[in-house]
Amino acid sequence: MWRTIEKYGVAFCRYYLGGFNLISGLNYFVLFWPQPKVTDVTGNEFVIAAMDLNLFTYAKIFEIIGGACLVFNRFVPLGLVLLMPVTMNIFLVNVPWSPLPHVQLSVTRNLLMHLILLAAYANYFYPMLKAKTAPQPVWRDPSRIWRSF
Amino acid sequence: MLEIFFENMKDATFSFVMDGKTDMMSLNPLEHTNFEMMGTIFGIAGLVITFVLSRRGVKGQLPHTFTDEETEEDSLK
Repeated sequence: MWRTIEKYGVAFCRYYLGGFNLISGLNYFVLFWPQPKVTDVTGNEFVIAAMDLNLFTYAKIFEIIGGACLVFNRFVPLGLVLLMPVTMNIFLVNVPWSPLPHVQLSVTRNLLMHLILLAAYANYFYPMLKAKTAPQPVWRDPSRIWRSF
Repeated sequence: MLEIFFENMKDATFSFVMDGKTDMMSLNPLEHTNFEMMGTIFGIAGLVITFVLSRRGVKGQLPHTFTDEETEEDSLK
């Protein structure tokens, strides 16, 4: 019973987060709906500054790639890593500053789902917790890259 | 940060109106913005896909019994 809840719960989180980010990223370029505006003045200035610096464009590209990875269940750990700055940034901009409870709940839910997925795929992140490491350069054996696929 | 969060939550409503417009003061989980709606659609579709794929995989996991058959291979003749 618990295994079933685990399996479908993780699947739902993956598809939800993937779909959310994929559509959000595509909407920036294709504009299915009007771009959402940040209510708070300072937050809006941050978004406008990010758009002027083209940071928003790169963030949306990462959203599309990361969202597609999650939706199509390919390179999921990589997708989670790509989406982490986006999720954290949206959380940190909106939760302290947005006066709208719906927005605060939404971004908190996204962060929680992201953390659940990181925990679900933790096996692929354990090597990063190694305390003492020695460099193992990619140029010594580049074939390891495609052997990992 | 937490104070602002809890203060906003106090002003939140829980109206059950589903008229296609999102009330941003509402904590109603059934009221979605466009992206949340797409996320939910993807999530539910994904659950269906996961269920269908797991049912397909069941055939390959049916219990089977191994019956040994004598062969000529490696026989001492």
